[in-house]
Amino acid sequence: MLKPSQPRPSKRWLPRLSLHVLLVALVTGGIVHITSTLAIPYMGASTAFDRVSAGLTLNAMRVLPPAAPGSELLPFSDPVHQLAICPFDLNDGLLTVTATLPDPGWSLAIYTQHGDNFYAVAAAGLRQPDVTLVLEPSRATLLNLFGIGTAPNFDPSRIQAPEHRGLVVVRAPRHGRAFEERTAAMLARARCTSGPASG
Amino acid sequence: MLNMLLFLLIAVGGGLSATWIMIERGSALTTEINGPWTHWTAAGRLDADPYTRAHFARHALLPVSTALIGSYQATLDSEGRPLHSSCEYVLEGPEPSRGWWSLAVFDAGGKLIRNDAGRHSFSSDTAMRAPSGRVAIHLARSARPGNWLPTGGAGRLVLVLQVEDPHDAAMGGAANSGDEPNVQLPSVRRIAC
Repeated sequence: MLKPSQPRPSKRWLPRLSLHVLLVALVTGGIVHITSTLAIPYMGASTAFDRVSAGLTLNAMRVLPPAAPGSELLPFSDPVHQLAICPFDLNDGLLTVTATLPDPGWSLAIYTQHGDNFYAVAAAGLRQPDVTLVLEPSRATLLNLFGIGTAPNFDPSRIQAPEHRGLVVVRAPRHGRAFEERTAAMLARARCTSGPASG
Repeated sequence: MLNMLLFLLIAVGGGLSATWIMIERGSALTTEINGPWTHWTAAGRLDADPYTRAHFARHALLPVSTALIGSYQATLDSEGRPLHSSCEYVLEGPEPSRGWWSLAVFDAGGKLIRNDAGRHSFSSDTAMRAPSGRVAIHLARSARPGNWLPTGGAGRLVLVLQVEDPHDAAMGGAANSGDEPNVQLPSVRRIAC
C-alpha cells in the first residue's frame, strides 16, 4: 500500500539568499581584504620605529648592547649581531650618515618609520669599507611619474627618504669575545649628524 | 536577516580571514617553502608587495633586503611536525653558503630562550664542522656534544637562518644564475621527544 507522499525537507531558505547579496558581499570582502592589508603598516600599535626610538636621541647614532633574554628591543633579535641605531627626523633638513663596514656580515640599512627598507648595503659588495651618505627628504611628486619636475637623482651617496622619519641600522656580526673590542670600536665609528657632509 | 548574516560572514569574515592568512602564512606569491623553511622573497625590498610589507610591519621586524641577506624561518621539522622544546632535534646539512651565515633559536614570540650557557645561535664563525664540511646543530634541553643550542622550557620553537649574499653563495642548491638564491638549507630531524 502506498503511503501518502511525505513532504520533502524544506530548502526554502536557499532561494531566500539573493544572488545580488552574494555578489555584493564578495566584492565588499575583497575591498575589506585590500584595505586591511594596506592599512596594517600604518595601524600597528607599536612599530619597530616606536620600539627602537624610545629612549634614543633623534639624529644621533647609538651602539646598543647585544640582545639578551628579556632585553630584546625587537622580536627575533639575533645576539650574533650587534647594532648601532640612529632614529632620524628629516623635518629639520639633511642627515649625514657615516659608517665603516669592514668585514663580511656587516651591513647598513635605512628604514622608514613604517618599516620599509629603502636602502641597504653590505660589506661584501663594497670596494672600500667606509660609507658616507646624505639622507634627504624625497622630492618626488605625482608629476615625476610623467617626467615632469625635478631631475632624477644620479648621485648614489644622496639618498631620498620616502618618509621624514625612520631608522638607520648598522649591523655587525659578533665573531667571539676576542673580537668584541674591535667590533665595538668599528661600530662606534658610525655617526649620523644633521646637515650635509663636511669637507 | 539571513542575507545580512551571509553578507557579514563573507564581506567581513572572509575579507579579514584572507588578510590574516596572506600576512601570517604567506602564499606562493610571497614566500618560498623549502622543506621546513619559509622565505619571504621580497622582504626588505623597495618593490615589496603589500602582504610582505604588512607581515614585517605587523611583527615590528626590520628585515634587510633579500638581495643582501636571505632569512629563512622554520616552525616545523622536516616531517611537518611543530618544533617544541620537549623534543630534541638535529639540523644537518652542508654549510648553508660560502658567505657569512647564522642560525638562531627563539620561542614562539620571537624572544630569546634563557639558558645558563648564554647560547642562542651559531654562525659561520662559531659552528664546528665535521671533516666532510657538513654542519650538525643539536637543539635540546640538556647539553649535547658539538654544536648545542639549548631550548629550555620554551614550548614552541622558531628557527631563523640568515645567509649573507644568498645569490653569491657557492655551494649546491638552486642554480647560481639569475636572481635565484643559492643556499643549502639544513634538514631538521627529530631525534626524540
